[in-house]
Amino acid sequence: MTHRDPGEQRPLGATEFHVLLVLLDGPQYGYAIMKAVEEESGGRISPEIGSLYRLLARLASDGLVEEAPAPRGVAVSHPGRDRRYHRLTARGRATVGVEARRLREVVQLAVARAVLPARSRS
Amino acid sequence: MSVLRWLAIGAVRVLVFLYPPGYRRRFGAAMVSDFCERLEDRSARGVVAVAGLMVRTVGDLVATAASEWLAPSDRGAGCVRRRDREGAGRVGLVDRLRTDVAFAWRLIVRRPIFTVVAVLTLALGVGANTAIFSAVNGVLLRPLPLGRPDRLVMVWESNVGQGWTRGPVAPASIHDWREQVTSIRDMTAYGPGVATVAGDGLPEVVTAAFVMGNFFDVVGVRAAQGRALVDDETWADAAPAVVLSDALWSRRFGRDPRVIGSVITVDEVAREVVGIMPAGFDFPFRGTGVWLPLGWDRSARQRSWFRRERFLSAIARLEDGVTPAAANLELGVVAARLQAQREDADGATFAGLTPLKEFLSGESRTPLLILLGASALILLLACVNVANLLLVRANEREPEMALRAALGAGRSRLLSQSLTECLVLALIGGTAGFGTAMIGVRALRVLRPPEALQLDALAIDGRVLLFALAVTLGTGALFGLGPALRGAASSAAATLSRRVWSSEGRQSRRLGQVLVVTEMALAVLLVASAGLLLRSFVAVRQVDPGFRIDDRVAASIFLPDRYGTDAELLAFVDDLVPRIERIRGVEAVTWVSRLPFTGTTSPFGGFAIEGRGLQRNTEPVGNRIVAAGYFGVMGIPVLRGRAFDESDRSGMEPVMVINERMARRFFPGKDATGRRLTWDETPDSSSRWYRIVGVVGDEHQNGVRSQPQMEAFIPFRQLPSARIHFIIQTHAGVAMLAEALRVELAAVDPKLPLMALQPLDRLYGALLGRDRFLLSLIGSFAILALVLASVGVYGLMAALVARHSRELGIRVALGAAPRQVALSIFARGLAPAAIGVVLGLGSAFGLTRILATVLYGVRPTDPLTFIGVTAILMLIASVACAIPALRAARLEPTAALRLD
Repeated sequence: MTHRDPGEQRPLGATEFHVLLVLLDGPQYGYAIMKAVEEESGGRISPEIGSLYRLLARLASDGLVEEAPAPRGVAVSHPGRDRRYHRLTARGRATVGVEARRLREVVQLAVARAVLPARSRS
Repeated sequence: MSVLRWLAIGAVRVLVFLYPPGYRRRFGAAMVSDFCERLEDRSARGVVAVAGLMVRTVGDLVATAASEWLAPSDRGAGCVRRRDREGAGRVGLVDRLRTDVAFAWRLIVRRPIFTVVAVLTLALGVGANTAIFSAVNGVLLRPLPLGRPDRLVMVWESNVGQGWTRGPVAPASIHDWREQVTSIRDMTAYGPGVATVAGDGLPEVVTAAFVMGNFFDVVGVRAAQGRALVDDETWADAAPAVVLSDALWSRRFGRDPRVIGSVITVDEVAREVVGIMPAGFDFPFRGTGVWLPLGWDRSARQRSWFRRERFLSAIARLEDGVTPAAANLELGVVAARLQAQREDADGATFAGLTPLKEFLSGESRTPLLILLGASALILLLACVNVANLLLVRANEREPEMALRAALGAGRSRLLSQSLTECLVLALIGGTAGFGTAMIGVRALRVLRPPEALQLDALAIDGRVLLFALAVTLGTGALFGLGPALRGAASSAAATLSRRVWSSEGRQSRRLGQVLVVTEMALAVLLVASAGLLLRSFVAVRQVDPGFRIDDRVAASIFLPDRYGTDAELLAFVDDLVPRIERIRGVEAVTWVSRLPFTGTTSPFGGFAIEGRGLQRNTEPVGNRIVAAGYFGVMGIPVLRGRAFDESDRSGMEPVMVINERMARRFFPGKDATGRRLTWDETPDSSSRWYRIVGVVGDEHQNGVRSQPQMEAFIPFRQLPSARIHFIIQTHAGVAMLAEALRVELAAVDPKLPLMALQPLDRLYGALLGRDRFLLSLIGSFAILALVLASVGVYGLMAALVARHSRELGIRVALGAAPRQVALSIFARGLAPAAIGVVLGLGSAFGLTRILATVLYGVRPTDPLTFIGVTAILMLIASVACAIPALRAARLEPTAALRLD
């Protein structure tokens, strides 16, 4: 399996990008990721469980995400739960950066074409 | 909510199994856990939110599982992965399925005997089920051929005290209810009858429905040509009209459209043909040929018979949104109020309604459901048997499986392959079963009893096809899963090392024993049911109808209104009877006002016995008019007094003969002859008093299953009736007799039609139709069950001996007596069989209760039947075990040891 440089990475999908953004804050498990993505996208992106895990599997095989041990103390407070935590790899972190820059360039294009006002925060 | 939660989590747990095993192992538990958390959050928002979540999750899991299977197992990075995939050739679900099917096909073809046995077994199971289901579909599921039939109800009256329930209603009641019950939109009524259609050619008697004018409106069916009847045509002042069935129109009028508007003669009345009904429509009777208005005089509403005589079947259409239960309640209240207003109120009578479909299929429902249950048992038995066969084969193929596992085939791969094989087998069996069902449906049409079960609409339609497909696939999964799991679970190392002494085989042997237990239990259930039905049939056959049925033929003639006076009726009989007596082969002729086995006429109200006053009948007393020689020709014994003779004519003292049951009830321990009786409830000087001159033996007037009814007979010559059923005692053939009769009748009155001749033994046979039908079907199921069970037990034991021949050989070589070896094998087989029999007896004890309503003279828990069944099944199991056991005893130790 050959891992390319993050710079060569194809553009990420919206859901993928949101998931990676959530993981920037530290390791998280499935349902927490789902909730965070839904919240941060203003409810526009709301992955179901099957889709989320397929996406995580793909990100993992692309080397952007890896499984991580549960943060200390968490497992104890949720007995009976089988949470599986995921965290960003260094490559994943880099990919988020690349993607963010790419998006900024895209936004600048939009501003240049007067789709967005220049002072908009987003 | 907790149940819903439990169900939801269970569903997700199951759905996770759709994913490829590696993926499932990696994420399955986490997915379920995440779902639980999400469900908890969602639960707070109510049931709807949970249901929405469920729908989305299920859809998502199924879709992602499918794409996971189709995706290559080796994931590349990002877009690179997609390129790789195109070159690498995809081993997707479809390809895999194709390989599996091809492999399964090779296996199936390679073992023709196994395949034939399995396919035949399945074909019988699926075929029996599909055929019976087609009957259930036709009778119970398919809607009636009426407009919005779900809104139609049958309205009836019951009087439990007088022994009749859900009986016909009086015309006045229909008019009252139609006006006063608000939940009923409209109501109509019909009565049965026959009508003589004349015109070109011979007059013909056809089945007629006498209906109120709004009949077609209420049942929601229009005429195919012309018009149906209209409301006003209920009454006699409307122009005489008739509606024809499509069948009669074809048969008698050659589908000539000019018939509409023309005038034909029906029952010697000129009637205009106003319409022709659509092809196949014959509601409310089988083969209705004409629909005639009831044609009441408008003044009839004031007559007492209009209120008192209950002879109509009433159908109502409910208002939209009204449930039958609510309408029933309102009808009950209105009817009770009307009852209370009447002077001659008979408070014990009450009215009710039942959905039409339920009412019409009521008689057939139980037998059909019993048959469906029995055929399901057969299917289960077939599944178990095929599972047994597959298990034996899975054992044989264990080394092969182990080798493949060792070479890297995953368990899921082996499992999916075994299951594919089973499904292919099931599909072949199912196809053959569908063919069997087509034959079965034909057989059902032939076997079908004439009246007892309405199996007219017996056909294979889309729903039946779907049922067969579902049964086939379900069957495949059912019989395949056990052996397939067993095959996939075999441990490679253990199997390949092929040891002799180990726990190996114990698991599969246990599975085999479970199958034998199941088979025997199912067989016990079916054989016990068949045994009970057989005992019941014998009991019914042993009932003496009370009169001779052999060599006696009934010929019915209904005289039209122009035979208005007693003298005309008597003249007709006096002219015709000597002619009949002269026909060659005729030994005796008599006649009666009602055909045997069709009940009696029960006058309304009670009667008075001289010196004792009014006798309110708690059960109805029947009444028939008979010819002087009736009791002699029918072989009914005269127990006391005398039968009628030629001196009992008009102008003489009115006489009466009563049956034994009536004599016992009203004159217990005394001689009834000489006493006088009148039908007037309040006798006065003008009352007609009948002197009882004789007591005769009881007849089963309503059929052999019901008790004889109390009955009084009146001589024809004192009260001639226009309905005459000649009973002709003859050795001559029916066809010849009919021809001769027709000639004689034409000589007396050429306008009169002769209805079909009915030999009494055939009428009697028709009464037993339902019993015979059920018995023959359940009986053949039971025989099938016995064959399947014995083959199953034998197969398992034979395989056991074959598999352990080495072990057995060693035992013999070490000095075990062949008898001991045989006994141990015998015991190993018989033990599960005995357990099966015991379990089967237990369940039969509970389940045969369902048969209670169709049994006669035998309790559903009849000990004799159960003992017999136990004996039969243990005998069969013993034989099935003994053969392999004897073979084991004859094993040559050296040959057995050389086997590997």
